[in-house]
Amino acid sequence: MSDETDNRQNFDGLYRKTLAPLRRYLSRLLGNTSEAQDVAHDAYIRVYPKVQDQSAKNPQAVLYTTARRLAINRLKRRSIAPIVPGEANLETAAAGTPGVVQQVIARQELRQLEDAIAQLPEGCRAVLLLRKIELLSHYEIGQRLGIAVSTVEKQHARALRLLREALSTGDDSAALIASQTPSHEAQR
Amino acid sequence: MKSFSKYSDPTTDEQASIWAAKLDGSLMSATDRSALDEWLAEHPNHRTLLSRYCQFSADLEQQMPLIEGIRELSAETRKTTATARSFPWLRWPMMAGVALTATAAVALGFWLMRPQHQFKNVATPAAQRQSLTLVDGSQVELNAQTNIQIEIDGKDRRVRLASGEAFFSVHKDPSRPFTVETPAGSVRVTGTKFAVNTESTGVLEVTVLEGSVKTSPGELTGQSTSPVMLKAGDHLVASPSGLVQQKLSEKELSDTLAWRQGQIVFKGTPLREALAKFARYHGRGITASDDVAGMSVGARFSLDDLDGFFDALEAALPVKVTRNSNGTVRVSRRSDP
Repeated sequence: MSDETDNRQNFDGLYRKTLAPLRRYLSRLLGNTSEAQDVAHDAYIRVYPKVQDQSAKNPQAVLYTTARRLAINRLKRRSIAPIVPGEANLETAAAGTPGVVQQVIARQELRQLEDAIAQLPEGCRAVLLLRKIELLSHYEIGQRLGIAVSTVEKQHARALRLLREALSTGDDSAALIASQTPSHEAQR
Repeated sequence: MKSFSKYSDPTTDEQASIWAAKLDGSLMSATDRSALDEWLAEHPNHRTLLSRYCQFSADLEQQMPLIEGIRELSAETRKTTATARSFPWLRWPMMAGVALTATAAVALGFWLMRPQHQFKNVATPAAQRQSLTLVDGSQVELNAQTNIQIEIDGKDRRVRLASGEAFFSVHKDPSRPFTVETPAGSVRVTGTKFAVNTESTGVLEVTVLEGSVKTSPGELTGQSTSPVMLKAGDHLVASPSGLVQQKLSEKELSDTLAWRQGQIVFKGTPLREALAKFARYHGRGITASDDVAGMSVGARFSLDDLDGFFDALEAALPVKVTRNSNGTVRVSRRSDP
């Protein structure tokens, strides 16, 4: 119990200490403050459990690594955005907060996602988790698992297909993740 | 989702997923790039399908860390042992079943009687407004093209206004403060009536109709200024260039909030800004040429009547309105004969 309190305080301490500099760092990387805010938020969410169970030796370093990788993924997405003009939501893009709508999702939908991930074939799930949770690149995943990058790509793609299928056969709420956001749907 | 499968014969679907995976986690070589371009050019549906897979992949990156058991799943993956004991979710249906048969009616009754929690996303499309009542009894009116997330629990009432404009009649509850967060700052109240607009990037606009609110501009961007207390009739615009606060008359208040009745009031408003309001509401590109953009517009218009607005512009100003085939509209100077 007291351990838990300690960790809680550790996280609060880490949060207070890093929030302003982390945002500044991310603002520089991303070129705008509101996206920096989103990424910082996502990074804290990812680091929180690691501080809780003390699996991170240097939480601050883990936080910055996580934040940097998330920011790079975002920059990457920005650079491929022009290939999908029909799908781009100009209002969301202009507001600089893409994906904000997706951030809050009801617990039962997360459970459906969890179930779907649990049912993925082993190799497929390993690749997906290393990519989305550990934020490793395909190259790094290949090194870690001792497999070719092309195999990593195929497994990642397979995970995307299987999850999309699993989440789209449920009711409307399950389709939320799989079919982007309601706002996109409504605007089409 | 139906529209998703419409495009996907198995091969196309597989190719799209592989491109999405590559774009997400691999370094694309020049060869990859040109192969992708080629594939995209083969059929217009390829682009749509790929774009959805990319969005799905990005959503997963954001959602997966929110799953509480996700790190056990990772650990499991490393150990590669799959026993029921280490798969807690396998036990869920069983436990849920026991609980349900024993106490189904009671639990359901409690659930229905406890309207304390609400997690919900609401988004309005172009040219449509929407009103909703939250579980705490508060009323929210959304202008067109507005996204909000509602998070209400026993201790807190929070609404994230990602973009757009909303009017709140907050049910008084001192034990549960009501906070509206926007990318440009937040507004905190216990019970009152006010509007929040965050249509432009980095700009927060707050109009208070009743009661008082505490506004913290820049709170979420790390450029936080000290909170500003606003009372009934106050209007605040917070932008990166600073704060402008003014007291509105009864008439000005109702003009500012006219969108709630589907109207908009301009008073010496530059044409550029007036067009931007309609463009936003209708989700269409409406622009003015430079030589007319600064002309001022003054009148009350119906937001839904776009043609009526253009007719009025042509009647009142030396401009002509050109409707392009792609849905965009251009307002330029009329060359008088």
